[in-house]
Amino acid sequence: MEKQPDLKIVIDAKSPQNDFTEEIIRRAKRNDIEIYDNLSGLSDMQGSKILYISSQKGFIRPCPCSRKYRCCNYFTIDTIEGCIYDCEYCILKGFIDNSKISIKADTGNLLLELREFTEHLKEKDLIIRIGTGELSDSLALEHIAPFAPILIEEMKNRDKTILEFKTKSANVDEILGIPHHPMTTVSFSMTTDYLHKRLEHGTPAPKERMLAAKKCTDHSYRVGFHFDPIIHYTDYESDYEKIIRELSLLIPEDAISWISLGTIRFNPVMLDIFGSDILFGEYITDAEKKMRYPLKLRHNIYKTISDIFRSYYSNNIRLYLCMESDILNNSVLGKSFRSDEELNRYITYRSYK
Amino acid sequence: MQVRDLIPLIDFSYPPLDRGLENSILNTGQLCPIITSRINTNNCIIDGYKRYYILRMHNIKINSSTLPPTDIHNALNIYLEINSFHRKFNIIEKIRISKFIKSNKISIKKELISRSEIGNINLNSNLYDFVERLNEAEKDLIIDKQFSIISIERLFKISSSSDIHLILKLIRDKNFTHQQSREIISDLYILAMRGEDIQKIIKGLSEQTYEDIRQKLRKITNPVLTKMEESIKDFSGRFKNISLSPPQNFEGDRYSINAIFASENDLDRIIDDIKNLKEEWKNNPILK
Repeated sequence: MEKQPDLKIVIDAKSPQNDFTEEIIRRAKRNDIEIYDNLSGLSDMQGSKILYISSQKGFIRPCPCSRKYRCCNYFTIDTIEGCIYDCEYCILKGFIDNSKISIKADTGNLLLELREFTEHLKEKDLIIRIGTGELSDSLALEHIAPFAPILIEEMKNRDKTILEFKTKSANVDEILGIPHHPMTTVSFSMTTDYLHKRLEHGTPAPKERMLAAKKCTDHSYRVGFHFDPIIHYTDYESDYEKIIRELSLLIPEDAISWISLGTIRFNPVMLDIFGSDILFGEYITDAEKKMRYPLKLRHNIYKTISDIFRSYYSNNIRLYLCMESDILNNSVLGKSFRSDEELNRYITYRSYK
Repeated sequence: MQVRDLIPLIDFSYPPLDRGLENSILNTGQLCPIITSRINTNNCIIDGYKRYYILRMHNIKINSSTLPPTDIHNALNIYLEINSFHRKFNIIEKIRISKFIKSNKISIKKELISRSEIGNINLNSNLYDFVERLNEAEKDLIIDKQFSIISIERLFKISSSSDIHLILKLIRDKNFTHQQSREIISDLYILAMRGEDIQKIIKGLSEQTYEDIRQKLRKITNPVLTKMEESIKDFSGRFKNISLSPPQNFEGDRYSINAIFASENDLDRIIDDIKNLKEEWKNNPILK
């Protein structure tokens, strides 16, 4: 397992008193993690990450992606807010205090919300992707807060939803032996070795993530890959080609649910948080007042990377662009999605019988 | 009380000398007393630093009003309470106050921090050494041009002191407005963070107007976008009777066509242009 930051756990009077919290305590002790009964006194612990066991409710919501770009109808399950990794580009830095990670341990309410959500979908001719990994890494803290088995078990017979875990970790051992729905997907955020070393502090190397993906496919999980954020730099083409070539040698196309491509985009406030020169590329303000590369540069990047994918896999590999305009979907993928629902169907086509 | 008896314990004033106040004191005398208090064993000034400096400079006996003995925490709270009602702190004073609060671990009510418009204590404190190292003319400039804390932080992050002096000199020499200063700093910040040679860039700007400077910087910071704009202009120029406008920064799928007509012949020409545009648009001139 990758080197973890120094972790402290706070379980106070407001934390849920349930089996899940008990399990966290057991695992914390097994991993020699100190447990505190209040937050005071921990605020000055620089370099430590505080895991706060919270009774906060409200787990499921539509992905807050985009109104002016094509969005994929995703739903998020917010089980954890905050991340143990320290990726320089992480947009969470712009709006949450990342020194405190909130673990929403009220699993009873989590299951209630999930059941209500899936019941609601029963009447609809629509398959929805839903996953953790929006406000945190889905699996990085799985050895301490094991949400994945609960979610996998709950969703294993539900055909209208595809459960997805999005991670930069290689922390998959916990879930390998669990009976799951055939479409349950473990997705790995991928990047080049160069960007990993420069920007993704504390995360496992891309190769380790690929090997973890292989383990998942060996246990009949489907896998996905998110090349997001793609960051432009000199020689990016050859570095991305290297990583895609390695991926193609390990993971067969029919085990891959989807591959998303997304160039870096962020709230302008991040320009004052970034440190590395590589993050100061050519940006424009987009239709939603976020910063991103100009259209033509994005087009060239997507075209280059999608062509590489198609050369190592087939033309049918399920690539999609995350939060992009119709003009780019058309020019890069040759697809015109007339609605977000249509993009969703394109991504989840394997699930429609 | 004699001036020499007082200790300026919580002095943040910048600039320390207010010429208007000096004239007033010399002509009319000191109208408002300096607020003092005993902190530990010292007679300290709580409020009235500008008056204090003028009185000290001219060796005038001071008129003071003494509060009961207090501590440094309470003293700062009183200072902020008094000042937040009758004046706005400038950016240098805000940074000094923040540093003092942080270094002395003073607790101030959020409401008072908000009313004093001090801003983010941690962020401001981190800029203290940087700001204090600036020379007086530069300090005056950042007050005169109402630099925001973001602009100062950006200058701080540029880190090369010769680059910073050059940027401030450019702003002073060109007498940019505060809005223009902010935009110039923003452009140069991005270029500096990219590792571009700021001295070389600024060298070529000294004879130019603000508009020319912005355009030149934009070409350097946004080469792809600039090229796209030139391309669409060329492309649009092929059509004599219609003009074509892309969405802002080419984001979005909606382009607009503008045409003016006075006769049926004009309309025929416009229709011909639109037909040609339709043909040429198939080759996607934007992404070609």
